[in-house]
Amino acid sequence: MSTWTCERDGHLLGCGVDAESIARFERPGGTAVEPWSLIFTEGEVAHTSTLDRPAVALCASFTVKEAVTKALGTAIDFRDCELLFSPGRDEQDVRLSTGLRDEHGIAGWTVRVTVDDGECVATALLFGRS
Amino acid sequence: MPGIDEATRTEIRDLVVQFFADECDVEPDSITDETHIIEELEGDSLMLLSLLRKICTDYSITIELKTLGKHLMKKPANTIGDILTLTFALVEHGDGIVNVDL
Repeated sequence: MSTWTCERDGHLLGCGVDAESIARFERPGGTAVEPWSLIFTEGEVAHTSTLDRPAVALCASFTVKEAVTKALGTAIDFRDCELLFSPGRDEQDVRLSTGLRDEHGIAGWTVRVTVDDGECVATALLFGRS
Repeated sequence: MPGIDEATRTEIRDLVVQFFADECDVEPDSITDETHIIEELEGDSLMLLSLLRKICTDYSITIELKTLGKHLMKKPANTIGDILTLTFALVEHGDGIVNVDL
């Protein structure tokens, strides 16, 4: 078990957690019909192709999008949440689009991804303005 | 459903059943409208997105993922029958599905 503390100005809008199996992202092209263009930005796809294990990065990114969705409690366009995954780091730099931030009043966020035992687990904390 | 003829409904049904049979490695004959996607087929959200992509490609539909997500929050799709109802509406209404009361 790991602990995680963070300090932010503003109130907590929501907290979302998601876990996904990396194996799910390891099949060539994903599933029978690859849904990547619905999920990932061109930047994410380009970034993952530069990494040793693209499936981990794809899984981490998808997990983060699901965690942010859960934190907001409503559906989002997954491409409004972008993660250029940095292997070996728990805390990840996630970009949320201006449209998404404005729509939900998001002023700050902290996202953590752990990779272990063949799965990625993401936790997203979203904060509103003070 | 007035906007879709019977032949198209049959075609969509065959497509959806074959999709889940292939993805979940089960016989198409074992899949019914009552089959639970998560509990019985071990399906997941990624699988649903793949099906959505296929439907949109095959039927030249444009829909925002956010729109579909909002619809699914109102009316979750748990069984094959739910997916078929959703897919028929998707083919008929496209992006207007969010205003459809299934």
